[in-house]
Amino acid sequence: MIWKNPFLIRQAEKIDTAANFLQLFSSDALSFVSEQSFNTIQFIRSSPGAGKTTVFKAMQPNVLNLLDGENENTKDFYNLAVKNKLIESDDVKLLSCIISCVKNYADIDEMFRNGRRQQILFALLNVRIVVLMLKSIMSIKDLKERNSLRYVTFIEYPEDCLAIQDQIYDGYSLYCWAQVEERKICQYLDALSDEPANLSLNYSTLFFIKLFEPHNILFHGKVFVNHSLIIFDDVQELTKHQRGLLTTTLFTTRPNLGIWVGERLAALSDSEIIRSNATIGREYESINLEEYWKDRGKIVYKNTLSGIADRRARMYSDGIAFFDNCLENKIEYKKYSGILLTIVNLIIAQLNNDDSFGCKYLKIVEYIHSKYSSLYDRALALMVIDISYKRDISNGQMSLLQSELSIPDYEVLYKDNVSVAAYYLSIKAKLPYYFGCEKLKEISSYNIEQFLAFTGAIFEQYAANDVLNSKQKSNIKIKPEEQERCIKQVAKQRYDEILSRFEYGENIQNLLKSLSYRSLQTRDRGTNPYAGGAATGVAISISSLAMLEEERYCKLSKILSDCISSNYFDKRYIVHSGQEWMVLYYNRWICVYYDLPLSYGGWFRATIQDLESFTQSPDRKNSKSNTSKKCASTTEGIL
Amino acid sequence: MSSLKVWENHKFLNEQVDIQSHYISNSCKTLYVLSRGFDPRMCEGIVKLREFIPDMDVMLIKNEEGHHSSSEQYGNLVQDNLQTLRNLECKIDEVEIKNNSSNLTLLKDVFDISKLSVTYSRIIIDVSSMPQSIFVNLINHVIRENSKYGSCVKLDVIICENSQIDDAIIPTGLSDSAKLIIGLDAYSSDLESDENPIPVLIPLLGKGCQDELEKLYTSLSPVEVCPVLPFPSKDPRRSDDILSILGKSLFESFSVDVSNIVYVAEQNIFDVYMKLCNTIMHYNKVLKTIGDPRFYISIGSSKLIGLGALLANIELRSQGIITTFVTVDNCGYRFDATRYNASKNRIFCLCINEGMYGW
Repeated sequence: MIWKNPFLIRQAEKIDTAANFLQLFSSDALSFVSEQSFNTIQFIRSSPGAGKTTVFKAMQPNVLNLLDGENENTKDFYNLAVKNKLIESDDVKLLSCIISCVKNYADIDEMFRNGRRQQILFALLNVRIVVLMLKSIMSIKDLKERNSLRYVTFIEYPEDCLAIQDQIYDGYSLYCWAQVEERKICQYLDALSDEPANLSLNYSTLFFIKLFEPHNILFHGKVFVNHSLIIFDDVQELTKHQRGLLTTTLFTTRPNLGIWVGERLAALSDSEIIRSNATIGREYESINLEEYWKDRGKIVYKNTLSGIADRRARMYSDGIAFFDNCLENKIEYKKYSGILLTIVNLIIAQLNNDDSFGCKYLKIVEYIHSKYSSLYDRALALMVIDISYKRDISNGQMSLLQSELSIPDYEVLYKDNVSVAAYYLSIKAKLPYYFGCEKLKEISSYNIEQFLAFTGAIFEQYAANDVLNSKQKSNIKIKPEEQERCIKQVAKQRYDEILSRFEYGENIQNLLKSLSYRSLQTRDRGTNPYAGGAATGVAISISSLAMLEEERYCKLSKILSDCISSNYFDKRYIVHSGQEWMVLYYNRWICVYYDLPLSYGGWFRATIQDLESFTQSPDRKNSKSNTSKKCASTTEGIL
Repeated sequence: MSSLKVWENHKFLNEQVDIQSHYISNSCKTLYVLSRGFDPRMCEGIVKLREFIPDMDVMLIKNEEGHHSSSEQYGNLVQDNLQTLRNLECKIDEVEIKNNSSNLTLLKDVFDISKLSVTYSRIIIDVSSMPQSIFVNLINHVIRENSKYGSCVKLDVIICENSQIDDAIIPTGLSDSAKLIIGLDAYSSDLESDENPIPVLIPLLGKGCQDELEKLYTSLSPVEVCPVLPFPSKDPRRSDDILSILGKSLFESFSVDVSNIVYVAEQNIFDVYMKLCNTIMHYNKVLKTIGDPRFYISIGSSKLIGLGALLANIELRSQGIITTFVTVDNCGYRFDATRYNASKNRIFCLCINEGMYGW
């Protein structure tokens, strides 16, 4: 048997059985679901990997069928399903199906003109809704033979079905009809015929949706489901025209069942992605999964990630109760004593030699020596002092009588700056910084697939250690250095991927490079100017966004929308100094790639012209005006 | 496999001297179809054949990738190629297409064999710089239409082969999902009403198809993967090199059994064709007992191997086995021109309906 890393079974499509799916699924992902969700049209958007398909798959009868209130893995999900009446007395009460739009639907738009392209699109969607919903009924009722669908009847058929009403009298006859019709439509499409399609019905709307309203379906003459749900997944694969058509038709049809439309942010136009806050001012309910996690708060999100990681680790071995048990969270500072000592001596020498600003700290340096016995703790405390010292220099003003830093003041200073000092020290002493479960959660940037990619790389190492050292279990935890190496490796893969993923991959890399260069400048001053120790975002004034509509910035507009829809930038709106800003925080893996801190907070301002210049290669940029230099000195802000 | 049913009258020429004598002894009014692009092999075939085919018109297919395609940076290479073409002093008609789907309109409107056969006795399709979605559809369409009209025109396919260039041209801006190439049973082979679909992926592998392969795997979730590698090959280590690049994905991520690998002769279309037919027929026979096998072929290899796969597709269709070509859309290409060595170019000619030549 070939071993598979459970963390790298990322896509819900790839988890082969419903049982395996449940073993890995965390019901926290479903907390936005309420009974109302099965009676409205709901748009569910995210960048790739945020878990749309996982949520959709969880709603399928083969998964719901396996829920067990007694099982530790499925208990929470079971309770949620019972609460929303998806399950009653262990019977599944939700009829649902997923219509994947990754099936060459977009080509139909190119192949035909006018009404025919709508007719063929709706013909395919209608028959596939019928086929998949009837298959779903078979799953709910555990029917083995197709002809058992003859026990399924419908109270009322949509008017548009009149032409075939003599052929369809139960679920089985309907299935047979739909099967033939689907084959007919597909053969027509493959034949590339100029002739009009000879279809059984006039498919002007998605009328078959109404057939599957829960009160309309009977099994042995009785209503058997509480809710029906039709999920259109990967709608971004449709053409703009088809997407509009689908949305309009769904709203016009207004069925009494749930419709979920899953699409990537990329489905929106460049301007919608960049400018609008997708959750405000729309007539329909829209959920952006990344925003949803942010709204629920860091703690809930981190707990969910812990649950996901622990389940996957247990899939490898029941002996691992928590993923955290695979990680060594303590650095062996002994290995770094040489460089730590050098840093300590350097800081002290610097303070000693500076009569203007350094003398303020000399006594506290003695205090630090007496307080901390370990070299690392001493270096860390001195790094805190170094931050304060550099701030003094940066402020430039010196009072005539420089008062010495008192111990209580030092304690406050230490408390406020210790985490940033640890980051600065890790950079200077080349200590591992990106390690441990908490950091992994921060690196995920509210994207579950991203979390699994980073944890997966580390877990792979753990599994290898497990095999190699099977007799000495105590040594197999992954050391901080190794964790950081794995994390950096994944970040590099993601960075390299940009070139092949995007039309303007090189420009995106240039943009990230230029932005991070600016961020590193803020870090290297060593004054802890922002939360975390460096700026990790760029702010653009809302009023200037209109410029992106101009022809000359259409490329930049596309680059920014690609970055936002792929979650390279985490977009937030703020008001600062009486002005509205859109802050684009870098995805945290980008921070890893460029050795930046993981905290949010610091950002610097840039104009549209700056961003345009950032996207160009350094050679071209140098030949242009030095716009970026101009903005560097004046445009920083603190959130 | 019992016999080569569809291709029993084929002729495959791989020596310059044979190709030359073929055209000298079969002189006729010819339409030469090629695709505009930056690929340095674009005009290699036509330049070599021009002197033997005096009565030749050119149809130049312009594949529009979009204003901001990454290939736009190679505009100078395109212009060089166009200049070479103009220097041949043939009548050139340009046909513009925008993407995969509008291929179909192009095929129907432009390649109307009943009309073309009035003017031309032979059509040569040069696939050297032609995107795969165009050449598989174009050749398939012309073969189908031609047989409908009693093979009224001779049909040859020219390929300028150089695996170094194939490796140096990397697609960029890949879409996240696989797409079936329409025109070749794409819809009929992807029915929701199939009882138990069993997807089998047959990727024709090259060095630059890592990203594409992973996206194909994720989109199709194949039950079996049968990687196709070039061996024997001009570079005897080529298949090992490919495996060293793709091995992690194939064997660790996709759990491919080593015995699933199919080795095909890099420069023999009919070896590719026969081995693919045998493989697919075997899987079809076995998997048919438990469900509906679906065979997806992706071309990440050289065009020569891709052409062999197209022949297999046509043969298998005649036997009732549907195979579909699958690809991952891209927005353009990156090309490292420094890796181009023209001395490695080699021209191949496949005469599809050579029965007409009276061999």
